[in-house]
Amino acid sequence: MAAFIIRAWSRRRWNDSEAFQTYAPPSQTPWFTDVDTGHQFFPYIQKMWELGITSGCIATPRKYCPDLTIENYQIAVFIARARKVTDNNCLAPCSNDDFEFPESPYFSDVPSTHGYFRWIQRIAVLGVVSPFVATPGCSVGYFCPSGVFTRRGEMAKEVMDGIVTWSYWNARILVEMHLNPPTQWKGINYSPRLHTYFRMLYDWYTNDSVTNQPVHQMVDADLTMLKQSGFNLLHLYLWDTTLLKELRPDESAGFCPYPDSPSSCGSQWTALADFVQKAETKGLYVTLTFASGRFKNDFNAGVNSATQFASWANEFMYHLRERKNILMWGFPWSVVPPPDMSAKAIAWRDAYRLMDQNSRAVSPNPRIMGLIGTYLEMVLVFGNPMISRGSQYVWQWQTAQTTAKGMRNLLTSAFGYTKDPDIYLMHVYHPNSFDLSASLNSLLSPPQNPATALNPDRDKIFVSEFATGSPVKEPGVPAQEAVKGNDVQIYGDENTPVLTPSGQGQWLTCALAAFANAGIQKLAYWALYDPYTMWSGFPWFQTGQDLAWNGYWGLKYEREADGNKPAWTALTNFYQGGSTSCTSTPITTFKTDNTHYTTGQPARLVWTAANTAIWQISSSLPASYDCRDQSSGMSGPQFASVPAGSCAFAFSDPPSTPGTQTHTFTARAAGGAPSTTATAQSTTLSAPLVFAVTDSDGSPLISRFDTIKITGNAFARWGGNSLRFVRSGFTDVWIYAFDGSGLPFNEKSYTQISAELGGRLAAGPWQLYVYNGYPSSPAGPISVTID
Amino acid sequence: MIKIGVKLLAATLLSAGLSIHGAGVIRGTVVDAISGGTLAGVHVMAMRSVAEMNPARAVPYRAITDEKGAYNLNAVEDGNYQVCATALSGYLDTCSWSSPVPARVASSTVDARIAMQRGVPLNVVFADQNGLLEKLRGKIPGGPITVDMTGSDGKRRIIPPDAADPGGFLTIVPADVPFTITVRTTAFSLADTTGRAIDASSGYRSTVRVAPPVVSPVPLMFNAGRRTIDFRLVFRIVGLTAEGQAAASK
Repeated sequence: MAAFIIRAWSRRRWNDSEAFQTYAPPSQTPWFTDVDTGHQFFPYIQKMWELGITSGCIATPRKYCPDLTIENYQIAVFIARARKVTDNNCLAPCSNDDFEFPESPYFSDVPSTHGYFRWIQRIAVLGVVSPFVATPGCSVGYFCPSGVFTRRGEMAKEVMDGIVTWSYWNARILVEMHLNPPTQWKGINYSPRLHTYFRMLYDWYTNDSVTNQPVHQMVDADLTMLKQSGFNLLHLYLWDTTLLKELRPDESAGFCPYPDSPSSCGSQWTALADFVQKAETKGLYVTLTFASGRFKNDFNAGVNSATQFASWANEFMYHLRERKNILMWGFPWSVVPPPDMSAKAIAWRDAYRLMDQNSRAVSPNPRIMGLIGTYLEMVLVFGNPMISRGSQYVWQWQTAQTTAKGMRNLLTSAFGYTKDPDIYLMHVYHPNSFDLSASLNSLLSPPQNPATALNPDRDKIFVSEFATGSPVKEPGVPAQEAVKGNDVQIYGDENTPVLTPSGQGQWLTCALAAFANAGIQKLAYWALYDPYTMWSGFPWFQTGQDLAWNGYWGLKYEREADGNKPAWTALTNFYQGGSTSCTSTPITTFKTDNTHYTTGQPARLVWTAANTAIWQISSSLPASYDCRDQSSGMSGPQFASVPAGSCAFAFSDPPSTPGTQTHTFTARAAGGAPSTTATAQSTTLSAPLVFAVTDSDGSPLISRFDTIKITGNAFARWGGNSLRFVRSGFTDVWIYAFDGSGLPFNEKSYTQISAELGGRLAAGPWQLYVYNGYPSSPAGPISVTID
Repeated sequence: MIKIGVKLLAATLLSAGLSIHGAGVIRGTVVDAISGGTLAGVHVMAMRSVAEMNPARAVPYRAITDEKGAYNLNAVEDGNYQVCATALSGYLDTCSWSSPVPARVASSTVDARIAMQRGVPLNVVFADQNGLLEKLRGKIPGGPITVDMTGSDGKRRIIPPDAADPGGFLTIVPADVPFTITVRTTAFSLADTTGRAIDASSGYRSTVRVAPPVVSPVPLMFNAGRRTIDFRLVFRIVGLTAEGQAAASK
């Protein structure tokens, strides 16, 4: 034990467990008669004496008794003294037993008359033990002072690291959790039912507008229910006003500087403390992630406000200093790619360093020693030009490995020794289990190029958000039950492979199996309730598709009477039982991205698939695929093993003759069976359809300088359309995207083309031909009169 | 996967798309105009200059850039071409937002490098909780709603419907540039997101400026970090006007 205490102290002081032997070498003259210079732990036991942490077991002759077991009351003395020495940077005894402690006993079996009352009270104040959580072999509310903690020579290194140096774990968590902090984080991103997601703390002391109950009471009941259902963790974001206003310009719920005003900021600091304490009381851990728009913007602009950021974060740590259940302080940004020494990189580096230091040592009362988590870039790839919805869901495990390496480089440059984040936060939305499993295995395997990438430790991966939606109600459910889903199916949306609440449950079962197979045990599902209130109200009023993306991820329906979704059963069974297996059948949808095409114009086949390992598209036409992931290539209508749930589309070869094509998508679960099929039809025309030619306002009266609008179908969504105006006695006038006129030509739609005429057409009658850029016939002639 | 898929697709399009074959080649790379990084999956088109356009040549040569941002337009007939690139998200379409690259092919190989500027999605959304859009589908020439934007250059661009969203109009615009968005409908009565009635019968105008896109380090948003944040101008379709009712009853 002495070795662990001293090493931990040395590491805290010099970042090196053995540095004390150089910078503060112990006396070579034995202080104890039973520990001579040849003893295995001689330097450590010597230093224990020199620091005043131990006075030995017998005073005369002075002995240490290294082989005796140590009882709980003794460890209390050692911990209290070690903390005093450590916290005060002492190299000699610094009144180690001079500290404050409450006079009212924490423990029923440690009255104020107990000989070691002050030290036991002290470590309770420090949070090493708690009257509310049982210590090993002891009941809640009791300390069991004479219980055997461990043998003096066998105390776990990690325990002392935690207790003395605060290097990795909150010491009180280590002790409270029977020296075994929870390896499985059974978490959820929490917000009360029907309450706008980020307003829980802001509205903490008010009545919910729907239930008319105090928000904190709703939360209290939920936390009890969550604990009883097998959860042990709640994940929250702590966002500042800047960030929330970026998302909702009128939003006032972000954290104001402490102390906040109840009238303008809702007493959120107090509410946060209350929330964490409620969780603690119920035996739930909390992870908190800082999300500051102000500092994000500063850093991105190269403004080094790291010190201010650290102060902001430190305020939370200080404010929550009495809490015992905080497992992690999240830091929701990562540096990708590995940093250079730009102003931005330096700002991020400084921020990490200060956050780390504050959380471990510098915060005013360093009792809250949550891990520092950083985002592991895994899923977001912006700007993929192949997918129109803005971002592509691709399992970029290579990027994640590069991020991990970048973070090591950043932290190593900040601290001067090799250092990684304590936790990697990761988001997982919607992938089929085959994709997920394959990607996680790749992520955790050694990188091809260790110089630029590393495989993160699986124990450090915290999937702080994972979910899929259930946008469509169960078959047969009455249509009015809008809260169960908006009945909008989404195709071609690579992020949404699930169409029903049952499918959501299947997806979750398989996702959990994939996590378990990869050995990832730190999880927090998004979210308990359908948080569509965050998206459906002012100012977004999202459409059906958007709500299917953003609003129906919960484990429970928004309306209480509707109860739980199948996903609730899937998750709670896993959290309570710890195991799951994926035997679901594939879930697929499939269609073409338009109803009509022309000869020579390829159809875009869009599909979604969950729980799918092998799939096939067969049609009256061959298809080619373009899936931007790590999978191997495939083409044609043969089955292929493609982890391709993120691809979600393919192109069929263009038909050369008009007609109707039937396309079939077949998906098989891992192992080849069972399978699910879906079909779609498309119609191929000999020419594009034109329904109307108008000015921009829909009027058939078009003037020479109007914008002309052609509505119809089977235009080229990817561009290449052109308009040809023909009139006897005039040269043909061609108008297309880059006709050299510099005038706007808008054509990124199957159903609409518009062009500013700019006076290019003389007044009078013209015949219009509309080409879609494929070798079909043009639509037309269409009579158009220019006014 | 990418390579094979792209090659197949490009080959497919070319073989099906052209009946006129020449000896020329237009090739090059598509890059990010700021970073110089190559862009994969971009649609590249080469079309005859307007003076040379005729019905037989209204079919552009097409290709999609490979994973290295490279493209090849093969068997190009001799002539003068304009080459531009289209990406459906993330970047401004060079076909309409900047000058296309000229290429003169004379049985030769011509290099044409295309630089694309980043843009931001501009999304105008009509929240249609009562399914009124569907009632008017195909019943009003030109569609029941028109959305256009006018920039500082005075040019008016109609924002096309979003194929993925019946109530959405979507385009990519330059970041941090003001536009006047005009919404026009005589078929629907509209309200803004606060419920205030809007008269769009003769055009409702709103000036917007879209912030530049967020770049790495990427914030971990509570909306799952799943998508970029579009600029959204949101309206609610409240009901049908008399004109809309008449159209719906057709």
